[in-house]
Amino acid sequence: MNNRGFTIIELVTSFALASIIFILLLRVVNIVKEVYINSNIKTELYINQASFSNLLNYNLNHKQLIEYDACDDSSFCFNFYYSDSTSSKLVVTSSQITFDSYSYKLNKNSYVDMDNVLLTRDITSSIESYNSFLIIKIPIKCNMFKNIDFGIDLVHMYNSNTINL
Amino acid sequence: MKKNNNLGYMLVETLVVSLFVCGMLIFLYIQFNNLNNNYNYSFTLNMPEDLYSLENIKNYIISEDNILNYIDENIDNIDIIDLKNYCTTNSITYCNKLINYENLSNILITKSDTTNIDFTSYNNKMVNFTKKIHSEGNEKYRLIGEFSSNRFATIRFGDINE
Repeated sequence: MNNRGFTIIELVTSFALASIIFILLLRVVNIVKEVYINSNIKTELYINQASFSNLLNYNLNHKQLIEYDACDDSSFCFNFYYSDSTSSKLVVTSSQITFDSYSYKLNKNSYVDMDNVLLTRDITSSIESYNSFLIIKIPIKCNMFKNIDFGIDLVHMYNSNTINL
Repeated sequence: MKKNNNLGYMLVETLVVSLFVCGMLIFLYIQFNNLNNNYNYSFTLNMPEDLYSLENIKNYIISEDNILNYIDENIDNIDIIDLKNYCTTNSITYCNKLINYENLSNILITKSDTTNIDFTSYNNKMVNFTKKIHSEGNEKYRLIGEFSSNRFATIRFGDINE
């Protein structure tokens, strides 16, 4: 009797196992690809946040802000004036932020939460070296990372007795 | 005549290969998962926004002689000075507002070298963060901030040579 060859059951089981492994591998490749793309977008958003934060902090803190006012045109637009007679313009729209020559255009998955964009002052009656705050909040959201804010939350301290903002 | 009995050969072969591939996949998954978790964790430590927040706190402390004197007098006896607690106890309005605006849930002042300081009275995330602090440099003090978004940051201040 010729016992060479394989039984049907053996063949079916082997092919079933092989296809399960193949499907698992395909899933793993898709997950890795998704994580790779997401991490690229997240990294880019964080880098832009760091750059913009650095620029804004440097200008407001090191160049000594003495005055600011709202622009007449856009909805969220402010001019900042410094003690060295220079000035900067901050313009925020739902898809772009511009500060002087720095322009940050958001990708299609992210947007500025215009409902919560804020520039405000808080003057206390403190007699300390600092007694006031200038607060700038520009929240940036991404559809893929709903719980993370990639925006700016800047607090500038000053004394309202010496600088009248 | 020699009989070639190949029954069960392909099945065993497939089983062995499948086990091997599954083992490799599990190993790769564990490594990849660790990598991804560490990647996400790295975005909670010493982010530029948070460092600027601590810079504000530092500038405020340096401008206030009362707070600076309190730190100078007590840092040798108390390993960890809780600035939020100090400002609340002494009703320093500006300090409390600053800590609130910077979204800090904890702001600690310690000596620059945190190697021998016990942070176990704080939460696990704080303990894990303090283990990663490198205690090098000429500065006397260290600010450690825990933000309400579960992020952490630290800066040194106060030149030891002054």
